[in-house]
Amino acid sequence: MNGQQEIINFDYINTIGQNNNDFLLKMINTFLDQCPIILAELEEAVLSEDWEKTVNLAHRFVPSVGLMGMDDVAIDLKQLENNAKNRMHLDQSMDLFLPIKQTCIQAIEELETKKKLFLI
Amino acid sequence: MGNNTSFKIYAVEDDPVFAKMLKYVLTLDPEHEVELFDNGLDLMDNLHHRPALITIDYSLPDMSGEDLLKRVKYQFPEIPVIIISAQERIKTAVKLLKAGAYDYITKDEDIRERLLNSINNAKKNISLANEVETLREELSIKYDFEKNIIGKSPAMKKVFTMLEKAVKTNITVSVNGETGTGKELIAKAVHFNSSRKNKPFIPVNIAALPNSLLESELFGYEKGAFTGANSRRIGKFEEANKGTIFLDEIGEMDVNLQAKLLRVIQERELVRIGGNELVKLDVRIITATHKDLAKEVQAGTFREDLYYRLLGLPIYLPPLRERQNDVLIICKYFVEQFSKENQLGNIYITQDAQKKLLAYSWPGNIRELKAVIELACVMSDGEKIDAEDIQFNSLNKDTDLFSKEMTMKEYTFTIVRNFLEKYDDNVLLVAEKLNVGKSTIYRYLKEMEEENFQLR
Repeated sequence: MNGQQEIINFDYINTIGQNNNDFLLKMINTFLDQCPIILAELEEAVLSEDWEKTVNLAHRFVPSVGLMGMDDVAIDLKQLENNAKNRMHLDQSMDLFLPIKQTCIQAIEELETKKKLFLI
Repeated sequence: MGNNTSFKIYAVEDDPVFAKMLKYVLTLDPEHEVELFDNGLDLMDNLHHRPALITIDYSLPDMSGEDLLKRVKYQFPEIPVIIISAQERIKTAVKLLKAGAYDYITKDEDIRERLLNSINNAKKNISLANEVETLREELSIKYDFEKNIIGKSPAMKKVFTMLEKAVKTNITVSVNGETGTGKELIAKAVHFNSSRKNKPFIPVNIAALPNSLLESELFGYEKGAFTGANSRRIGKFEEANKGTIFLDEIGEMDVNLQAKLLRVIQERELVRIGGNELVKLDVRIITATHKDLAKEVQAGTFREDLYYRLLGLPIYLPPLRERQNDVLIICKYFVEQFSKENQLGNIYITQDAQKKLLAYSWPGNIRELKAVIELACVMSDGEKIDAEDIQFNSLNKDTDLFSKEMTMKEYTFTIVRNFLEKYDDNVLLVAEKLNVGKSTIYRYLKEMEEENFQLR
């Protein structure tokens, strides 16, 4: 927003929902509810070097961000998941996570704005 | 947990956002009743409610989708399970499908169509499976020999004893009896009351197929085995694998083919015509014939070694004339069956009709009796079957003549009556055919009148 490139893309969700606005709104609300929780859990897992939990959370989060059209975030989450699963490049995990977090925060803001437009 | 028409789906998905999307897609069909679980153990705890279908996310927090699939399939192999995965991996998909997954769907933009298509296909399969199960149950009831093979005579009690023995093992059964005594019914009763009841029952009428076709019909053939063999075709033995093959009229089999049959029975394997591959067989064999196979062996038309191989547990089906006590019981059974099938209400058999039925020798056995009763039901006034409603149209007069014990005089009268019937009461012609004088015929006619003799 404010000249920034949009992160959210509703193409996928509109394909599945066949442009059903009620469905779209429900999905936005669920994402807005769940995203901060998963992000906090994932950050905690990476910080505490709990790689099993990192694998599970990253894997679980991929479809959610995919639904919102956040394909770049999905790619980063898969990288984080694979690294944690294979115990490779673990020292880069936080470097991978932070841009994910940053983009998700931005996506939340974007979604809040879109939601308001919806509700008008 | 829903009404009778709902289709209960359990979906296991730990991502709440995707779970919500999944529920939305699944409930697009109003028939679907969807319950979500975010882990495998919760699903297992609720599996006893027997959902119609389950979708499982491949990666779950407490176990892998593959492990959960195996657990579900172990307990309820009939429930279709669709695996939904974030990644498309052919190897994983193949492995899961081999483990019993109904389908493997990836979380991409086609998920809506793929998922709904897959569920619709599963529904069709479930419906077909239910139909097959219902038909199987109906078959079991139809061939429940205590209810459907009728008779209280000592001869039939012996049949029941043999049937009880036949269903407990896989022994070869040979059924012998005159035409119309119900040999195929006995074969089906053995199969549908045995441990093979859910496997195929394949009847083959040896007499109905020319010898040139019988071999390929029984053992199958490979592509190019002979002119016209455009593709491989499995034979009746392979069709019957794990089940039962019923070889009706086995006494009609050509001697050359008997040797091939013997080999298949001995080795429990066959080679299709024109092929090299050995096909292992696990087939129960039931044979039937109206012939005395022992006599056929003596006459050289049936192989002795095959005779002993096929004899197994012999069940002799007595002709109806040897169990007159059963006639009325069977008549009543057929009246009830016909009335029920045609919504005719209760029809009873009058005393006169019963006497007429009992006096007859039934050369066509049960098959003839059934036809006579069905016609009588139609001819009746809808309440009772009278003597005049019963019409015999037996084709086998010779059997009829000797099937009933009579005095010499009665036999003579019967012969004269039949000849008079056959030659339109032409006494001269009858006398000529019987090589007696015409006065002899007139004398018999007079005696028949005096003694009020009636054949039937």
